[in-house]
Amino acid sequence: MTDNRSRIAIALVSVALAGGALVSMLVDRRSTGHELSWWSGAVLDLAVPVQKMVATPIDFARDAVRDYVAVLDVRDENTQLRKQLASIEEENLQLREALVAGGRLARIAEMRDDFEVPMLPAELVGLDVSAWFRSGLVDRGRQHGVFSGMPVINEQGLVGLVTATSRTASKVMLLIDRQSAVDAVVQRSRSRGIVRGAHGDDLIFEFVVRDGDVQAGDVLVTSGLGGVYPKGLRIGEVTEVSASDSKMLRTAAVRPAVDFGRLEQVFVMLRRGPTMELLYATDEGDSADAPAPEPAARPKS
Amino acid sequence: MKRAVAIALLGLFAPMIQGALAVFVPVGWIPDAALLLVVALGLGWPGSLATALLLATWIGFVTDLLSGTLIGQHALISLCAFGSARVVSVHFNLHGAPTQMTLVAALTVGTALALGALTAFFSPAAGPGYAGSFALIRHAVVNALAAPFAIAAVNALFSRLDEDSGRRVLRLEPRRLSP
Repeated sequence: MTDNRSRIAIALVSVALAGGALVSMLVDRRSTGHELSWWSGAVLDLAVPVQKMVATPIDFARDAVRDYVAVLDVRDENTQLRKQLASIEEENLQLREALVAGGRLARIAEMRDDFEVPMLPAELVGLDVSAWFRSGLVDRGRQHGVFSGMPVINEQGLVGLVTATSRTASKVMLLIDRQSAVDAVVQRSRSRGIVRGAHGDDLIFEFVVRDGDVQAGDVLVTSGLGGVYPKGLRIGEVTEVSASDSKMLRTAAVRPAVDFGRLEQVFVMLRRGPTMELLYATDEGDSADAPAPEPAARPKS
Repeated sequence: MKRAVAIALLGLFAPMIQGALAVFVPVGWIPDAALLLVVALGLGWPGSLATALLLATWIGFVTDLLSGTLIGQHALISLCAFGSARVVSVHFNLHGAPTQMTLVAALTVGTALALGALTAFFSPAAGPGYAGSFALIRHAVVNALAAPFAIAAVNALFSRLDEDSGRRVLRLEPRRLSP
């Protein structure tokens, strides 16, 4: 009798826990991108110092080796960089002259204003613990002005998007995550398409066959359409265009501009795109208690 | 109680350490701390089953928070992995390393497929992904290799924190009657 009761109790506990997990998933799906509740946030807040503590000795050892190797090549590299800089400055001057001559200086000034988004440096302290998803944890959160929907970049290009924040930490969905989708444009031909995360560290560019002028070596940048990412952020380079397997769409393999295997320092753009602002902002500002708008599991740029 | 707190803390910190290491080592080469802990729990938890179920769910929730999944996805899968490990341990002798490794490899593949299926259900465009990929097999091997050590370590922790160990055994020996 007691054994039977115990079995029923265990079955009930199992069903309650599984049901709780399912409900939690449904709730989370509806409120993707919102700030975490206090207890979930507390786990993220705790993760930052723990992960920094683990990373510090490894970083120290790795930096020591890197510094030693770097010092050996630094003089040659310096000379080369100076030459490159001089050449780029020259090129820049010529371009400016050409644009002024074309009467487009005002437009350039507008573009510069568009790009003058305040940036917050952040350190990547941890990566996704699941081998099947690509996200990262950075050491900046709500108290630093970081909110869901803000783009994250580094000097190489687009890194991803902030999807959840706690007081002192933020979760970033990386560009290479399978759930990531960015509206992109080929810099050379202006052909548009969607860049998605693929398996591993690569990306896939899906574009319409009809007006798709895409070749290996083409550089992809964010199109700015969709209002998630600003226009012109470097995404990657086309490595291979697949044979057409559909009348409408073709795909191309893309190597990301960012080296996700060596990601350390990133910058959070402290201004959300208009779509993200509509999705996440509420009258009271960003808040965990704020009512959830329409689901935005896979925002496009 | 001590055992439950110890497992809850391990479940909290082990994935954090795993996440920190993932910055330096490709994530596929790092054993899945949460899965190993849940399997060890399923094979060796000496206390109440309800507590173990709660602990398995907690470990899954922590993983969810440190991962790009929906909150609850790993928790559900962790619960299933715990149940599977428990059921298998009832029917098979899992004291040897080869059987433990086989179980963990199978659970790695199973949990990855389940995660893929749940992700595909909630974000259809993302697709189920990793089925049959080399990364999955590699990760299963890495987890399997780490399994005997992780299970032994957790069992050692259980023995150390044995709640009955403080009590002394009272031995009753019959007195010899002198002639």
